[in-house]
Amino acid sequence: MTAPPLLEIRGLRTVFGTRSGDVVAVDGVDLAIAPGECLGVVGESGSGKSVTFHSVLGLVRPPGRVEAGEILFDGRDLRRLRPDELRALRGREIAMTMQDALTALNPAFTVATQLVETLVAHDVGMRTGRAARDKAIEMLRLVGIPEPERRIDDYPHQFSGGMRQRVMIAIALACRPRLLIADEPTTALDVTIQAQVLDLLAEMRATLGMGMALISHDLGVVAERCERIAVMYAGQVVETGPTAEVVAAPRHPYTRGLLRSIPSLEDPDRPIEPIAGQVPDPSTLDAGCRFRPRCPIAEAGCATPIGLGEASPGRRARCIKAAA
Amino acid sequence: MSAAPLLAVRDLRKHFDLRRGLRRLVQGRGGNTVHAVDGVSFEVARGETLGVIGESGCGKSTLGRTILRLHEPSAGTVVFDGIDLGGLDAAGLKAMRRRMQIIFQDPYASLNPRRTVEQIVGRGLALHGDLPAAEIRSRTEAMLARVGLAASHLRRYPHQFSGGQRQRIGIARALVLAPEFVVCDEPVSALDVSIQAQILALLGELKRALGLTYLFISHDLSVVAHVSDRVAVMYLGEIVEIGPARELLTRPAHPYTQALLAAVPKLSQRRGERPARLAGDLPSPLSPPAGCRFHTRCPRAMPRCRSEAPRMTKLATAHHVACHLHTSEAT
Repeated sequence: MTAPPLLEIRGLRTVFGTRSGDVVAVDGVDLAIAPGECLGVVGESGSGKSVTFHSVLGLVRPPGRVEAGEILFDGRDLRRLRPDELRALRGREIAMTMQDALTALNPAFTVATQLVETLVAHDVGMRTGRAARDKAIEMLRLVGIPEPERRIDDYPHQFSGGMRQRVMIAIALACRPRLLIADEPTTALDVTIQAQVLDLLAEMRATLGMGMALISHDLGVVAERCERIAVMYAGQVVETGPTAEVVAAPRHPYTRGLLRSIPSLEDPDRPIEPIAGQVPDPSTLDAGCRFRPRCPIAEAGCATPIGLGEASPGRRARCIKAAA
Repeated sequence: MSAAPLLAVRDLRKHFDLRRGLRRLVQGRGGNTVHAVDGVSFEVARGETLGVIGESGCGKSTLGRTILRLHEPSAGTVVFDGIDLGGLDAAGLKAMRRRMQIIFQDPYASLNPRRTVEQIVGRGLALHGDLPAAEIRSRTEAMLARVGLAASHLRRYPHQFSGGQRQRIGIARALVLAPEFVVCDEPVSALDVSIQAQILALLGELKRALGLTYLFISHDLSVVAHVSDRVAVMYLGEIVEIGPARELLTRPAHPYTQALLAAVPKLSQRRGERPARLAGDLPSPLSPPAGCRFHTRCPRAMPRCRSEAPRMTKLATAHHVACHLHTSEAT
């Protein structure tokens, strides 16, 4: 990457206080997204992928707190912003879509109310209801909602799952943000609807020239849509690099394990090899490699702290055997 | 299939009548009856895995439950090992349940949170037959060991387990009576991929070791392709295509099967050659479209598809499709 990144996260550490001590949900995460780039963030439940981006937007609430790290957006550290500065930025420069549109949208208000609210809150030129409503209808049309003039006055429950996701995308994109964080945008959707929504996101990204973080547990979704991916495990990034290279020749044993454990439609007879064991309990982690209890190639050296080192140009992996 | 099939389903239908309150809510959307399963016929041979694939609301879960008589069928017959389940009284049906079991999708919702693992898994043994308590306990333990859990887990409650372990408990519960036929209803959908692979491997192992026959229901085409010998594709309560897994995946005949396959994200990026997407959503099962039910979304719909429902046509041995593109008059 030669262009300065749009978003750069350095050494992010987010913890949640519990009665039995702090649980580190995100531990030393480094990530960067260039302007207009799509970064795929993949990991299983509890890997810290959502918490990482909640931290970016200042959405981590007590007992959680961002303990360390820099979150540079366009060179400005978001952790140093005043709450009102952050509020002005959120929704306008960086927007986020949530996994479950039915819970993310307010069931008691029409789509019109929720879209217009976003526009009025952020856009000085939208003080009048009429202009904002016209703009809202235009956004709904842009995301492919049929008959937007009529549907804008419907409530969220009157839309299907795919259409609801489109409504949420319309709200997120209403202020033409420079970065969209799409958190599991298609997890609740059927595969044909998923394809429609992913197509829409790709189209919107091209139209608006925005950067995007596509968070998903589905390696296939991320691999198909993103130039670069970051694989997370137990609160850390364990591998990053160009998607095609990572999928073709993963450097971290966890990435390799993930790829081998997914049944392939192209080759359904290939045996799948599960990763043994399960994700570690975050309260029992030590300083060494977090994957080593499940790792087939772990050795004594894995108990020492291991950084996210360069494995080859443009690729990094958190493994002492990555350079091989 | 030369030998008699283990399971034969003929023109099975399950319709749900909406109650008055709901009926009012959906007024203007058509009928008052949800045609969840609407005339489904197929056979499953002993030792075979038949995958059932389709999107939410296509009726695949209702199909599995209606076969097991967890739902009373509206019409049609289910014959298991030569016995028509419709002709059985309560005692006869109970006896059949030893031989036909189900593994549910959600390992969080399908286990009673107030029962220990021992009670959950041992319950079937206690209900069927009069085994002494010690025997129930030893069989329960043996079953748990078989699914990868320890005897020390017997006294624990479901909330003390991870999702993958809970699904192992659900599998143990289903298999403890040594059934011959198991409906697997989205058994891995709620699990993370690395755990999903563990459960799929376990289901495969158990099938081989115990000689099981599976009806494997899933929305995930890659998973179904991996576990199934044959695959049935459902759309709005009907089977639109059924055939050997490999053939159906490499030569899908129905435009809906083709669209499903095209929509699955591939690990290898092939930019530029985006296949055509299915437009729109699934129509309401309250008023399925006339003619071919898929014609409202079908990229290759013809005039006759709007009025005339296509019949199942044989394409090759065991490969059948219900589509006018493949009926002789179309060509």
